[in-house]
Amino acid sequence: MQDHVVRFVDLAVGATVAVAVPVVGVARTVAPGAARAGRRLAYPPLVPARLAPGAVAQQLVLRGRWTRLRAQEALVRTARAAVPVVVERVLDEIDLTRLVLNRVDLAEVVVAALDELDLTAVVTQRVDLGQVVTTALDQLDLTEVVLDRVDLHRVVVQVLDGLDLTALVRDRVDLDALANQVIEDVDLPEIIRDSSSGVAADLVVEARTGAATADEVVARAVDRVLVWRRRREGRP
Amino acid sequence: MSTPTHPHPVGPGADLQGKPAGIVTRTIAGGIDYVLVGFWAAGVYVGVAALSFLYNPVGWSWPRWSFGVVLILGAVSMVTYLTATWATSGKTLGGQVMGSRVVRDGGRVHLLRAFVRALVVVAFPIGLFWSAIDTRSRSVQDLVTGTAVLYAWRTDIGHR
Repeated sequence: MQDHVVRFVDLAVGATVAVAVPVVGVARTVAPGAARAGRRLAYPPLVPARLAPGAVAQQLVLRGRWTRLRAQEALVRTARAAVPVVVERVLDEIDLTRLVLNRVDLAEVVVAALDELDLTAVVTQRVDLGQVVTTALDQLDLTEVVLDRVDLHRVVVQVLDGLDLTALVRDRVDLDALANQVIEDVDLPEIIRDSSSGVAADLVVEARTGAATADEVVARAVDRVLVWRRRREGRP
Repeated sequence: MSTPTHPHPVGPGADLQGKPAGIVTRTIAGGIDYVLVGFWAAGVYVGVAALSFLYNPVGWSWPRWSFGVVLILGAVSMVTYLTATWATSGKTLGGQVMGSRVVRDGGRVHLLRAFVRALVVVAFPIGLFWSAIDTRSRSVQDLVTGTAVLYAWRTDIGHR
């Protein structure tokens, strides 16, 4: 089959060559004379140059070119005006999302895009991070979130484990000043006065009750000895 | 005397308030008073010595007081002191400490009666010990002047 086609082609080429070679030979022989003859015909002698067929043809060429360029411009203008309308129509017709989802390997696109981008730099340059964070914080009840999500007990324990509190207090707290402040705030002399007057009062009460008890003991002893007194008092 | 008539029977010894004070309490109170007057007499002696030094520094020596002079000084001081305290608050310093007060019919002792009582106390101090024997804890001076000594730790007892 292929052989037949090739053979046909070869036949056509052979026939063409057979016709063309003598034609080309004749043309070569005739051409210089024909060109000279053409030039004579375009600008014949005795005809004014302005009315010669060559000049007329030249003018026609110029006019044709001018018309063509005008038409071309108009066409471009029209086409430009039509583009948005056409695109809108097309987009109306097409469900672009579905199209993209069906036809595009989105994962690959995203991966490629991310590979190309320095995302950190983009975010840092393009995003007003302060405002984003402020807005987010405004919308969050941070206390509630922390209370819900954070094991505060563990955090505090961890922190306290990591700290040498005694050393910290010794380093950071002006213990002398603190002690002086406390001593100033506490009215130490008043406390000492109170406690010492309390001690004195206790001593007096002790002495009085002790003496009263001794009084009672003596009275009983006397009662035991003095029978008449016991009778008079009505005591056994 | 068994039912307390005062309005605030609180604290240790509250049930004793207004009852006759016993011999031990009164002896201690008296002892304190004697010590006090002793200090006073010593102070008078030192004061007189200082004055005599200012008067005659060159020929100065400690004043030589006979026993009689000291006795009279002590007795006068004691009588003055006891009269003044009994006739006003009814409490000597010893009485303040031990919480005992001298009263007459449950009230303040008159100046003259206080003076007589002081004289008896100074002249016959041993009379105090009769209070151990007397059924209402009255000493000789109480019997002579018709006074009584009460437990009065609170200020309102026998003070009207």
